[in-house]
Amino acid sequence: MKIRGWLCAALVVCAAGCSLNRSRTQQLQQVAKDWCMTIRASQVLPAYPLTEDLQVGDIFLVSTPIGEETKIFERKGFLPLDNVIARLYPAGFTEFYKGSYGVNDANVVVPHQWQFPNPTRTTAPTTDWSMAPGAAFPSYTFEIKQGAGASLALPVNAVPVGLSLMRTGNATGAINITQSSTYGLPVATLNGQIDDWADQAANRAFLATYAPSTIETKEGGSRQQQNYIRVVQRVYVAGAVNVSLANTESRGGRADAGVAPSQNVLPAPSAAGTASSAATDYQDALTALNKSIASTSVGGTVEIASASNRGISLNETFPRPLVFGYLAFDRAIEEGGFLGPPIPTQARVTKQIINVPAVRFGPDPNTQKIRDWAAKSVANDEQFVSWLRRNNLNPANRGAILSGTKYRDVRQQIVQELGIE
Amino acid sequence: MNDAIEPVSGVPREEVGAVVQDFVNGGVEIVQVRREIDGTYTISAG
Repeated sequence: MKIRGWLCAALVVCAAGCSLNRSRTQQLQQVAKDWCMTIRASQVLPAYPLTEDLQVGDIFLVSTPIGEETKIFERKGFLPLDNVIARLYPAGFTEFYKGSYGVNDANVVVPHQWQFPNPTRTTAPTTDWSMAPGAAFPSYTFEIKQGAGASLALPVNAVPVGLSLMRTGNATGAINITQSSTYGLPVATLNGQIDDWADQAANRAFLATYAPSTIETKEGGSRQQQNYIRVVQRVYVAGAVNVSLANTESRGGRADAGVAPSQNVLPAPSAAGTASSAATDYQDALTALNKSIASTSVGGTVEIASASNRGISLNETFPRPLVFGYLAFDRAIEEGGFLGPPIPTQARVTKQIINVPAVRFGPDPNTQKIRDWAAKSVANDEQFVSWLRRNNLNPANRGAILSGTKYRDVRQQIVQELGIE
Repeated sequence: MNDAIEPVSGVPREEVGAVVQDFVNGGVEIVQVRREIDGTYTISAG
């Protein structure tokens, strides 16, 4: 009986723990997603986590089916960038910027001159990103509840530091990207260079291994696997953020991030009680607070801008500016490793329709011949699809190919080459 | 290969079903059918 009691208790504890973990995970995912949605609201794809190592000309392999990728984008708010296959150092920056922003040496590939200025500096600012074209983004507001572990979900250190100083786990806050830069190249400039890269024998052979294929599904059916390359054409870089936090908890009691806890964000005012002594007290308190975080792992990057007993505002400067968003285009990998035309990634994953001119309806006897023949067997249909792919035609464009006036010659060719009676 | 799915315009009423079926057979999940002022239809991927 006693054992059964312990077992029940253990199960209850386990269930509660699992539930808490699930709730915590969900909240972490939600905070990450909210951050990404703010970036997305500005028509920019979020890079998450923030990284310095993402630049214009980076090429990624995308093997996730478009439907699945759209779902991931909706669920997580960002697209995982995990399969980098090449980094191009593209030409064309000097022509594009015409000497502005310090881009005047064709031998230097942007952003090298901003990232690693010559001569090397040992004191801040160690980079020249302030010379790059500016960008501005809306602030991101969020809410943190007890135990959510926002220190893990938000890609800035100032949030856990602020929560720790306020000794609270419940707060509302806003993050504002205060030093933001951007640079990029037009698709037309990059696209030719991607073709040149793909034309190299080793690269063509590599791409050919990702040509369209038929794969079996778990349900026992099959589907066409279409792979893409994703080319980064513009990035957005953040040098610093401002974090404002307001304590929404009536009684605080939390400390983390290695910061020594204090009773209040600000100490009690001095006995003098004059306006000048209040200002001095306030300045002294800020200095003391900044000293208290200087010895932690975030010291030197996070600085308290203002504080009250109910709120705090912190400036966080990244040691080196980080990419938080990008624009890219996708190109389908076709038979033999040849690449399709560029399509904006955002348009593809948000299912936006790319406007193309309509094809005039104009069937001929071959239209029905091909339809009937393809409908006779799966093998015939697969042969038809395969012929389209071999001839650089999109099988999904079958509606236009079978009845559009402009495809009459194509239909004649199909009938002849596939021996359709 | 051009990834775009081209709409087909000027489709007479009696041919709409066949053209829609071609779109569906090509893997298009949502097909839009729009009636034009001249009484013909334009069929496109939704």
